[in-house]
Order: sequence, then C-alpha cells, then structure tokens
Amino acid sequence: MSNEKKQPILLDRRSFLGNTGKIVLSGTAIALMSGMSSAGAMSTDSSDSQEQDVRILNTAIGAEHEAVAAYQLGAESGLLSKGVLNVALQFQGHHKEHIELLASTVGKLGGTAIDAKSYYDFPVHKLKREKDVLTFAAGLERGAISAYAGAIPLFDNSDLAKAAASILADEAMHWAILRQALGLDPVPGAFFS
Amino acid sequence: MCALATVTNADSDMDVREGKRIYTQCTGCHSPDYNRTGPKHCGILGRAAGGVKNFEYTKAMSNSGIIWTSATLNQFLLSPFNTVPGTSMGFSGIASERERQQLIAYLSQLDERNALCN
Ligand code: HEC
Repeated sequence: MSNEKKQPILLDRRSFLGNTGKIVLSGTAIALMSGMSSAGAMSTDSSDSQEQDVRILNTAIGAEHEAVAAYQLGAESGLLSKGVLNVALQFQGHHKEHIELLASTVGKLGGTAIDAKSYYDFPVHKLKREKDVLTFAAGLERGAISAYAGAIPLFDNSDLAKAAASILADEAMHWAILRQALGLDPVPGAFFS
Repeated sequence: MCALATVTNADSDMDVREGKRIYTQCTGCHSPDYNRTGPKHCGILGRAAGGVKNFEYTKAMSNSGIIWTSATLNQFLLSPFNTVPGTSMGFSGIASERERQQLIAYLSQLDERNALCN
C-alpha cells in the first residue's frame, strides 16, 4: 500500500474524451427551454416571484461566468497537456452554453442577465502543476453542483427547476471526469450534498 | 460586541470539522478569504450584513440592518429568502438545526486568528 504510487492523471485519451468532442447539452437544454413556451408569457406567477427567479438565475450566471474564467485561466496556464486542454475547453464550452440558456431565460422573464466580472480573484499562486489545475476545476464544478442543488427548490417555475437540473447533471459529469483524471473515485457516493 | 457566542467547549472542534464539510454547500459561490459570486466569509461574526468592501450586494442585503451573530446566521441559513426577501443568494437553506449550528461553528472561527483569513 503506498500513497507514493503515482496515480495516472489521465485515462487513456479515448475513454477520457469519449469518442466525440461534441457538446451534447445544448440540444436537450434548448428543448427544455422551448418547452417553456416563453416563461414570461405563460407564467401566472406574481412579478415578485419572477423577480426572485431572475435573481436566482443571475446568481447562477455569475457562478457560470466564474467557471468559464477559471477554465480560461487553466487553458492559458501552459500547465495542461493536450488531451486535458481539449477536455477543459470542452467543459468551458458547456459553461458558456449554460450562460446562454440562463441569460435567454432571464430575458424571457423580463430581467437583464449579468455580465462576467472584469476580474476574478483566483488562487493562481496555488496552480503549479496540471494536477493543481484539475483540482481547482473539480472544486468549482463540485461547488456548482451544490449551488444548483440548493437553488432548485427555490424556483417558482418548475420549468426552471427542470432546466437547472439538466445543467446540474452536466456539471456532475464534469466533476466525475475531473476526479477520475485526478485518480480519485469519480463517483464517491450514492448521494451528493 | 459582547453578545457574540464564542465556541469554547470540547465538542466545538468536531462541530467545526463537520461545519467545514457542510460548507462545501456554500463553495459554489463563497470562499472564506476572497469574494466570488458571494462575499468572503472571513470576519463574518459581528459584521453588519452587506459589510464586505468591494462586494456588490443587493439593496435588500445592505439595508437589512442585520448584524451577523450565531442567532441571525441561524435564521438566515434556515431560509435566506424569507430572512432577507430580495436577496440574490440563490440557496434554499439548511433545514437541520444541528447542521446549521455546525456550519455556524465553522463560520465563527473564520476570524483574524485563522490562517486562512490572513
Ligand atoms: C448560489 C450562490 C450561493 C450559495 C450556494 C451560497 N451563497 Fe451565501 N451569498 C451569495 C450571494 C450572491 C450573497 C450576497 C447576497 C445579497 O447581496 O443579497 C451571499 C451572502 C451571504 C451572507 C451575507 C454575507 C454578508 O457579508 O453580509 C452569508 C452569511 C452567506 N451568504 C452565507 C452562506 C452560507 C453559509 C452558504 C452555504 C450554506 C451560502 N451562503 C451559500 C451566494 C451564495
């Protein structure tokens, strides 16, 4: 039993990347949202609860922007090998799609989606190796999953809850892949909190 | 400033440890030591709500008049939206009283004596 034994950081490239680099969420997500038949129009909610939904969505958009910026930092760090870099960019692309979906929903609800911050206070000094970047990304994904799990019960509109669950599922996949790449158990339990 | 509950008993270390685990529900938006989607938590106990510099709070939070103590945190973390209507903290709350207490034990030691906060 040695903790020293190096865990492979990467699976073989094929299983890590899957057989396509394609982004699969958007179709589902857009289908989910188009099923909403314009949240604003169909909603019988009071404007207060719509405003609440907008605030929750905007907070989620803020967290998604942070994830996009974090993957950008990772991608530009020069610490990622080619295979990992491709995966990082793919995941970043998913987060961008989450933002598009959330922002268009905010628009439908009559709100204004927030923009990315001009500056993120990331712990850059702690990122010295590929493993550190993966650990950082896994932490953000884990946090995002928790954040969606904590937000879903608040949505007044169940279509929004459904869309948020779809995003949560995507981010849970990211988290599992990143953990696998780090040599950790990719699915550490039956429940997530 | 004297009404703050400080954690002193032997159970407290365990509570802090458990609280740290529960805090993973917050780390999608918060870090103890720097502002993210949510404000940093270092120095939270005794601070006025909306009091972190360079963080853009909602008016609802800034004008809430809350001072963060064990009691007000307990109420807020049970139900952020009911405690501060209009807050942007999109988090439904922690139903378990025990878990809230453990989390508050963790938050309470994020003060200037904590290496994370220096
Ligand atoms: C979805 C993102 C998100 C999650 C998850 C989240 N928060 Fe927040 N939190 C925020 C935002 C945004 C604010 C600022 C709210 C405002 O201005 O209305 C905030 C504000 C706060 C405040 C008030 C701070 C101050 O300086 O006045 C406390 C305390 C707090 N959060 C604790 C927590 C704890 C503890 C958890 C985990 C159980 C948590 N939050 C989970 C986003 C989040």
